[in-house]
Amino acid sequence: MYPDISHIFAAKAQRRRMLAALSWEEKVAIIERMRSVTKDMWTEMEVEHKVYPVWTPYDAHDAAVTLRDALEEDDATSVTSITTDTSA
Amino acid sequence: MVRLEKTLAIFNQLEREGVIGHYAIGGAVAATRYIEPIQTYDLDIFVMLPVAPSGLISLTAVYARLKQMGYSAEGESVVIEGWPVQFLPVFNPLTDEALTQALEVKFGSMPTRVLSAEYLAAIMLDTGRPKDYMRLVQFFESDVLDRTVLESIIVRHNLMEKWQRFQMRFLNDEVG
Repeated sequence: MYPDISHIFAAKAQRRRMLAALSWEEKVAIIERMRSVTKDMWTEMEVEHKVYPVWTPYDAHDAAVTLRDALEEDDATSVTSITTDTSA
Repeated sequence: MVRLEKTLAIFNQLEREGVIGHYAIGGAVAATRYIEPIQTYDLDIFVMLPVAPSGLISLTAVYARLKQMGYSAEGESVVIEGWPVQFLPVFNPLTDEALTQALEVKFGSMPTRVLSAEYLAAIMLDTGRPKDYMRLVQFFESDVLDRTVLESIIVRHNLMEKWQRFQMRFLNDEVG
């Protein structure tokens, strides 16, 4: 049995509607902020040689194993509650 | 103040000086007026350019004036008040009409023009890159298009085949 994640998609859709309803000026301010954040990252990487972790498909298998192990180590109560909620 | 307002002030000055003709905001920044914010790195400006005595249309005069004003070119764009700007001279009857029919609006306190949602949609349909289709689907999901207006533009600019293909792939509409 898999958890029902429809509420996650519903929340995403709600967030998109909320963002779309902002004024044009507010939305452009968000774009400008996104641009400045990524620009800062590039500057830091070039000037200060900072390193940012980046996901790559080459590590996907190892990452999946790490995630699975972490989930197995977890007390599993949260997963159980999601499953229970779904069946209810 | 959003930086774009200062950028728009420069376009208005260029228009007053006759360096450019009518201009209107297009691309992702225009689309953002109608749907959720889209990450973009540059600002697309559709523009009418004065025709030189030789009959040629060139951006040289625009770039020269901007350089005088202290704005430098970076690759294909000019950075104006923090925004890399891509000037796009109208390149076909569709973009020509889109610019003529652009909406007179204000951004903050700055008067400007922006392409209407229907013309943006028709240009996306015509251009047809994956990102255009993706954005066009968002326009339909957000219900921002007057479909009658859009379809009249589509018919006028011979985009019916592309429109039917798009509907079949993305809108699950029956096409007659």
